[in-house]
Amino acid sequence: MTVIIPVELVDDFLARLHYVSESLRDFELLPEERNSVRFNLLPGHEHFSPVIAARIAEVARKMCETYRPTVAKVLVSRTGPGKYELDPHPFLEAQGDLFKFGQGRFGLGPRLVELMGFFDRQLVPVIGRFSAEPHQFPSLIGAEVLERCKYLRSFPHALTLVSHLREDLEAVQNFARSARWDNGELVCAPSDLSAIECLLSPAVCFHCFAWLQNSQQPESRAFTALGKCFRYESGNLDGLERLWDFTMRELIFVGSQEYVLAQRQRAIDEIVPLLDEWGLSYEIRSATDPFFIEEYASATFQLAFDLKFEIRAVLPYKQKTLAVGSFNFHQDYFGRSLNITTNPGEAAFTGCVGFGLERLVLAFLAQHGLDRRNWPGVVAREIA
Amino acid sequence: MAQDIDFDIGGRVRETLARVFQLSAAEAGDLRMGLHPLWNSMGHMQLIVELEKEFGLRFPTYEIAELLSTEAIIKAVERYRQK
Repeated sequence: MTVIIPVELVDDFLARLHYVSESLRDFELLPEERNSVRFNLLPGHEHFSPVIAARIAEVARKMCETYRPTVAKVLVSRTGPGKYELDPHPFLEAQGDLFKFGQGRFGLGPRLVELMGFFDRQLVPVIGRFSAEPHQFPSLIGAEVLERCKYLRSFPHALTLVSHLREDLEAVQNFARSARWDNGELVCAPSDLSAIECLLSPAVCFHCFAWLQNSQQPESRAFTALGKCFRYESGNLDGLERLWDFTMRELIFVGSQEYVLAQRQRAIDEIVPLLDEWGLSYEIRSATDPFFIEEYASATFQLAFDLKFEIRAVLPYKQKTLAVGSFNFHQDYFGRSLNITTNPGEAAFTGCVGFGLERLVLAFLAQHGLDRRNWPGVVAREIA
Repeated sequence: MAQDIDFDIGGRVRETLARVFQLSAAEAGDLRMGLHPLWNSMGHMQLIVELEKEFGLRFPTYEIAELLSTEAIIKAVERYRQK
């Protein structure tokens, strides 16, 4: 490679290499030099080596082009009382509280469902202080909404496309006759499948903005919804840390710039006591979204304009942190993209606060363990 | 000590803006972010990269949020060139 990957970019860089080629079996960045990637290809794919090397170099170059050293802004830093250090996944699986259906797809048993419900029940009254209107949205989202919001361009690697069979008797009959599960995939004739009208939604707030599209909102408003979100993350999918299919509680703001920024700050102030009650070790710090490599510059833009702060909870068993929530300011991006105005000709500003419930559960168990006698009182009392 | 001052910074900034946002140099004379459809978040970062190449400098992250108009960019570049 013609560039050296800065230490702060290493995880991000490696995460993106999963999308370079289906021929890649594994890869590593040489830890000292950080300017070379050693990779292995699937048997029979060796002739792709030069192309893949060039693609890896392109990813590195594009990421480094707009990267600049940045000191993360840490708004809050807490060390909770948790002393647990083991990975809870194997214990949860052994006790029947967690079941892996496939890559990024897990079923949760009673104990985890109870904890998820608890965290959401605790979040809802706090969200209620914002006079947020409760909503429910579908898991499916129209492709036109994601296109108008440029999500298709910014996060193409994370999309989950939805199809069904064409309304055509011959196609349905052909599918029924020939579709079969083979070598890890459903084999069928692509010509039997419909065009793509919908995707599985990658976030809750898009529905809210789609609902308000082409409208004028003279009064600032807040919304809340609990929803399923879907982000395909290839080889980065990893237990409850990174699911393809996860549950998010969102609080969404629409209005003037002053309103949205003030509510985002207020949300941080109101959520911190809750996180402290749960006894979590965490930081709230500036962050970026995992943009596709062509749009990687947007990550620097997010940092420069303080658009995103994440709650990063400690995972002691990994000696790393995991984002369990975020506080986002979208400027007037969705207002302009979907023609939501506050006054004629003035695009609305928007923001959202999101909590990944499975991740909250994981962070809690990773810090406090599975024995509820070691849990903070407020949690232990609520969970029978 | 003599300083190497580039007296045409304004012209070069306007030319860079014009190139990135497909405008004439005259149209780039008094631009602000958000007033041109291409000067959005991606356009802004593209502009920053082109300015850095043009003047051989590197803006720190915090300053990127301040380079929101032709005038602000010219002042910032002048400041760097005089350092």
